[in-house]
Amino acid sequence: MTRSSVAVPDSSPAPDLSSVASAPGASKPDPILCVKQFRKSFGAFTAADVDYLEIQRHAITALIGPNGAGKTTLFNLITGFETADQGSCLFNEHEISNLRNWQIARKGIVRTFQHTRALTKLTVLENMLLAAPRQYGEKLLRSCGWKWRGQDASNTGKAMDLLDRFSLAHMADEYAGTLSGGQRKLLEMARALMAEPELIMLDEPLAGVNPVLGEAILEHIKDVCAGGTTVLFVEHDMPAVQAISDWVVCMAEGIVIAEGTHAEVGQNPLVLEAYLGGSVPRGTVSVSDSESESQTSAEEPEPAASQATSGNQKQQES
Amino acid sequence: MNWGEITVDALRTSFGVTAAAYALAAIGLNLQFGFTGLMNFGHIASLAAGAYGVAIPLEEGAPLWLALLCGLAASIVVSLFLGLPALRLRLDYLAIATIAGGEILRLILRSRWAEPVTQGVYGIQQFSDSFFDLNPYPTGPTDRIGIGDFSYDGRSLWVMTVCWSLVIIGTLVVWMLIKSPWGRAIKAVREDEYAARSLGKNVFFLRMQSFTIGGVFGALAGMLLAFDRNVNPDFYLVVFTFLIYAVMLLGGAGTILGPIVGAILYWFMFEWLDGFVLSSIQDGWYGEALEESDAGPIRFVLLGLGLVLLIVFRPQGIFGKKEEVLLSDS
Repeated sequence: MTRSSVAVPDSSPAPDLSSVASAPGASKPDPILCVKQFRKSFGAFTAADVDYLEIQRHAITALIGPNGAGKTTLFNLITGFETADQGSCLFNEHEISNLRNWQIARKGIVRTFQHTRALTKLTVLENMLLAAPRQYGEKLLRSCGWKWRGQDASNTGKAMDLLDRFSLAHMADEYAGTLSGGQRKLLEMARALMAEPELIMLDEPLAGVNPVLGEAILEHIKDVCAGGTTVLFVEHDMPAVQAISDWVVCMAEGIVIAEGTHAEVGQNPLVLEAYLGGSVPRGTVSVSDSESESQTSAEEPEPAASQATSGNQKQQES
Repeated sequence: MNWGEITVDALRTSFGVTAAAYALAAIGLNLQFGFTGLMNFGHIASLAAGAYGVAIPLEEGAPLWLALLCGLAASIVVSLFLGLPALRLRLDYLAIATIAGGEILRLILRSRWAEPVTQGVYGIQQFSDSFFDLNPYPTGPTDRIGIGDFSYDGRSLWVMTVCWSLVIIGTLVVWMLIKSPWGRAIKAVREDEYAARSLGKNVFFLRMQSFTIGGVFGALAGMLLAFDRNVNPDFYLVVFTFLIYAVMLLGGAGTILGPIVGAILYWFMFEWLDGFVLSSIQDGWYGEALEESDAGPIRFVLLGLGLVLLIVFRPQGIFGKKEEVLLSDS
């Protein structure tokens, strides 16, 4: 494993989040991203309404919540793929909510998509090279001529190292369209890393991936974080969240209802209620210990009833 | 029926001025559609802008170089006018907006109130003397250059020389652009604009650049067609754009050599069918069923049939790669 090929800002001290209160809006020792009063409505439906959220630098933060909780909307708002109705988003203490999505990407926030977006008619290597930042030959006038070749060659080396790390090196010259679904997930992650982000945002990196490859992807995510890149990811697979995340943020119906370590969030009654009250079947949500699960199921025998409760909850909090 | 004569006639046309101009226009369209994925159905507006941009100054007595610059500038202005609003739209709307834009330009050019400048429906004639002053070939009434029937008069040959030279230069320029990181970026925009954005590419700007450069190639084609004939607004109909599409798709959209081969092949097929249908009617193959005046429509029917067969059996065109067509997006 060659990590040297990827730009490492500085070797990361393991983030200490033990002193952080496990409550929505808790302030972190060294936030890379800070979201304030972020709000997005589609007509009468409020898709996301985040009061205050900090993301710790050099940590792996998981964003969980039932379907329709607004996780992807929050992703889209942060990365500029949707425009917020109001609110601000500070990245390294600079306002980014007024920037276009590609400008945000150049600032150092690179995202992946829930449904992979491999550039199918480009080769795997071209996919990687495309992502390299600050390319000399990407300016139209400079692209005529040969001056960009040196940079492209060194980028190729870097891309091959990354592909090697993600077990895609043998596919480098194939069209990305020939990759399987799981390989596309890997490619998208490798491509995002090629862009040398400070913050990488992964939207369901394990969706549609077999368990073995899933394990590998989790290892990659841990490596990425150890390499100095902050990770924020959305995931439904609770064991995976438990395995790698330093911090868990839970959203439901557009708002952040809980924050904390996995264990803390797993025992939070609001979280359990949000999951069990929603459309997610109980079996798929394996909360940290089975005891708390059985407790809540005793408390909430009627899923339909709890949905109404969580609706009230939202009004109280907002 | 004289098969040899039909074939030589077809060959002559397939390397003639019109084919060269189609190739040049298709290079531009290929950059826009084939490499950037822009559905520009108003490419004809660029040709019109180039033609009028060069004809009006020449008519007013401007030197040739200034007129050429005016033609290029006119095409850039038209591209910006169309592109600045339309490239912000989703791409299917771009198609509609460009069709409308092309028609609007044509209607303005032929309108009565523009007549003092554009001479309205009459068009502009006899403006290209300063272009043909540079002609190095002999232009006597009996002078023909070439081998036997495969020969051209000096005037056509001069336009052809300029036009094919531009085609070669244009092909090299496009090849260089496409192999560069810029080319990679516009192909990424074609494949998935959201992925391109998430990697920090300014999609709108890249599209605008490609759209404008493609328009410049269209304008050059328009200028050369204007020199060869004259300028008339009703030449710049929407259907012309689709003929350029046919040429590009025949050669293979998104390939470097596609536009050249497509233009040559298209005009060869067109002219060969023309000769074949006409002489078979004259030879009485169909008895009384067909007359000579039917040859025109029938060759279009056969050409259309040929294009349909091409799309069915070789959707990627002559030069395209089959696997690229088969790749799915999800």
